[in-house]
Amino acid sequence: MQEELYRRFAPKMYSVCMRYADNSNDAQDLLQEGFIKVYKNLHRFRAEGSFEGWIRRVFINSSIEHLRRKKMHLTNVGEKEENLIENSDISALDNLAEKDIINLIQDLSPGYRTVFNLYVIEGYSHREIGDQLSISEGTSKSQLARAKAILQKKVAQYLSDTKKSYTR
Amino acid sequence: MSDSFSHKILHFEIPPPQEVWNKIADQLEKEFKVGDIAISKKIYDYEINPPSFILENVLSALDTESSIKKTPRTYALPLRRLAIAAIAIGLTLITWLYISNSESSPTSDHSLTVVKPPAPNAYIPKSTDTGKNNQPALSPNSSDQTLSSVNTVSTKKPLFSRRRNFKNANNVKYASLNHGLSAIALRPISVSAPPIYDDNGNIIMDESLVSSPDENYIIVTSPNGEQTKISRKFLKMLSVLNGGSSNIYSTAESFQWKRRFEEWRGKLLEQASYIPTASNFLDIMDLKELIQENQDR
Repeated sequence: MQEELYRRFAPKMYSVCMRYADNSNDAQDLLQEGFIKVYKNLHRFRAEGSFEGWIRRVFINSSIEHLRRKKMHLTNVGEKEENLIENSDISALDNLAEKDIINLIQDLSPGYRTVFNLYVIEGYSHREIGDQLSISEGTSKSQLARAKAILQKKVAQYLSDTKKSYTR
Repeated sequence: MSDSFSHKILHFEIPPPQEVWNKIADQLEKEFKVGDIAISKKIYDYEINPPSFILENVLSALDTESSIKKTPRTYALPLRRLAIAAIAIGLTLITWLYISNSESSPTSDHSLTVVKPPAPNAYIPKSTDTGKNNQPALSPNSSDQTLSSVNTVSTKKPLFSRRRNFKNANNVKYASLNHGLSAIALRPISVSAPPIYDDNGNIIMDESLVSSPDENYIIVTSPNGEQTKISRKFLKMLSVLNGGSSNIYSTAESFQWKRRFEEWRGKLLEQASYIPTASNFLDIMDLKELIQENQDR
């Protein structure tokens, strides 16, 4: 039963772990730790929502805990700087393959990466992110804006590099 | 009715104010970008196959944790130390019990009882007294404690009664030393031997049985039942009256008196209302009256 559960959800959860971790080794540690938690807390699942959603939440919480252990520091971005990056458009990411997107996200610093994942991918609000990471709502917003700005630059850089490689 | 009530409540609708929707729309416009949603859709369900060893690691970790949980915690008991401790506790307990018993024995195991003795002039021992009769008789006005005696009655007390006995120690009456010594000195003589008869069948009088310790008096029982001291001079007469040996009258005068006594005794015995006995000196008093009557004649 455990193996069946693993085979069913491991690829999706490994993707989650790859988004929150610095590298694949950390992602594997997170995956292992997350599945152990799932097996140990299976009796707590009350079938009030989807099972996948419950497992995903376990993995996200496990990842955030992992970041806390690494003593992630989230600093508020200044108002002036925030206005500059407010209108960053990351729609270009949609043109990239999933694997490439995940690699770009992984290159972000832990704070930016976590807020970006929680807000953009998981659909958390800034208030919920603030509660999860024990930061203010404003800090969550500024961290997201900063993350988007960095990603925009990275996407632009990536696309130009890809163009160059094609033209060669 | 309840069904219709719950149905009404469940389907009751209140249109929210317009402001609520405006707030929601503003927040959506601010927070959710179309581009973000597209990326979320793309990444949310993306799957990456993990390395195969992770499953083995997870299962082995779970097995290890379950085995740790199932293994009961065992404590290595230091049996040698426990045995030594048990012996030490046992010895301490036994010693304490022994000491407590030995300390409490003078007050708890032997209770002192002061028995007020009878008046010195009120006791007559009987040669045939045994058992209960060996107990000294008590006179009604026996407040004189010259003959007090001390009896020690051994009563086995249960263990752990030391404290109770200590509390009751104030109630114990102790006899004074002088009274105790006098009680020993004046201890009544009680011989449980049968009367001794001579060849003629007469009772041989043992003087020591009726003599007081100082040998100045003999103790007899008077007609009213009280024990009375009388002069030792009457001893020989009593002996004669009881049919004892007559060789004690060596002089002529004594012999005469013996004869007289025998004569009076004969007269006394003829009286139906008087029954002389060896232990009852009733006849002496009547004999006196009889002598006086004779003299008057």
